[in-house]
Amino acid sequence: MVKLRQQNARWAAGSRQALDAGARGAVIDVQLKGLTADLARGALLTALALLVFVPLADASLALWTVDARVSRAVAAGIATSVAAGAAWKIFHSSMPARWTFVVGLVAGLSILGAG
Amino acid sequence: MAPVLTPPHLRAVPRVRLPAHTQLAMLLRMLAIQGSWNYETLLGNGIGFCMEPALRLLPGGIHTPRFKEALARQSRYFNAHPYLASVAVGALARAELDGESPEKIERFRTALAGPLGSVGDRLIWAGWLPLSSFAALAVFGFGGGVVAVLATFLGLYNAGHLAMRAWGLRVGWRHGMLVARALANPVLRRGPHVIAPLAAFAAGLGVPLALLRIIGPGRALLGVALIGAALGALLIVRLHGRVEGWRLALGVLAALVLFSVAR
Repeated sequence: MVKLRQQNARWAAGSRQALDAGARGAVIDVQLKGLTADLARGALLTALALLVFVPLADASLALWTVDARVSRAVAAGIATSVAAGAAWKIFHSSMPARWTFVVGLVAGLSILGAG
Repeated sequence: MAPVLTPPHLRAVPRVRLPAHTQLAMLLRMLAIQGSWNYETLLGNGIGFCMEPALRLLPGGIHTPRFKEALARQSRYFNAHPYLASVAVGALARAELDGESPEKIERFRTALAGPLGSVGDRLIWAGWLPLSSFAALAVFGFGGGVVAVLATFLGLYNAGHLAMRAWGLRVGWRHGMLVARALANPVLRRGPHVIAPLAAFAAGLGVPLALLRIIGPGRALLGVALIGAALGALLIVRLHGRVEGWRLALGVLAALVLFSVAR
């Protein structure tokens, strides 16, 4: 994304004269180049990730030894840690949000207890 | 008696009517406003791109110096939240078509950027986006399928930002240079204070239910996962600024994979 934004700046700099002259084509051109490059970036990264991680996941699962429930618990626990850490950054300054989080947690745990 | 002339920036009714197809074109372009985002002009080119359909309504159309000056002015550096930038697009388009002086438009443009950035960040990145995510998590926790979870997240999030862009364009155009009064809208002022507690509630409700659904039955393991998650979150908060949570998470997951495969 950083590289794409730098490239966008280069495209804008390359069209600086036309942009300063208010050329409609230049404004649209810079915008469409950026959009197209972003689409290509997304497609390329997705393809690369699939190419690398699908075989890696298959190979890892073939040799996997840890119990499935424990593996899921570790993965979900880690994801929850990251989500909770991010949520804390957002909500810690709001006292009502802290309390509604606790109320929600108690409600969620009560539903589990009753289930 | 000489007629009393109203200064353009105080005129209640726009000098030019904005046709529906122009409004639609601007709204659709708003969806691509960040297409050329860069570290030098930030959102600037996107603003010019979104406003271009309206500027075509300037007297003489697209081949006049007035059109070119206006487009050049509007394509320069601009920073705002991408969704609330619609307020700027509407208000600046109105200012250009009302024939405000370039100096006044420049000053107005500079003054608009700050508030539109901070209000949007609090309302969307710290409010609506977490609420949409945690609501989807809660739906998953309650047993919702893939379609229900995706529909919850995508439906809520997209409804929010599309409504905000359409509202912004409308009030920006309606109020023009007086659009600051629209930013006193209760949704913008009080919205973050209402949305954040709702998102926090959805998070609290959704986390244990979602964990149970992922892990499967068995309270002991769920309890361990919950306590582990709380300790992990505490560590991430304490390490704030030194290491990002997702990097730490990837490291631990990679260690789990290595342990499980190599054992």
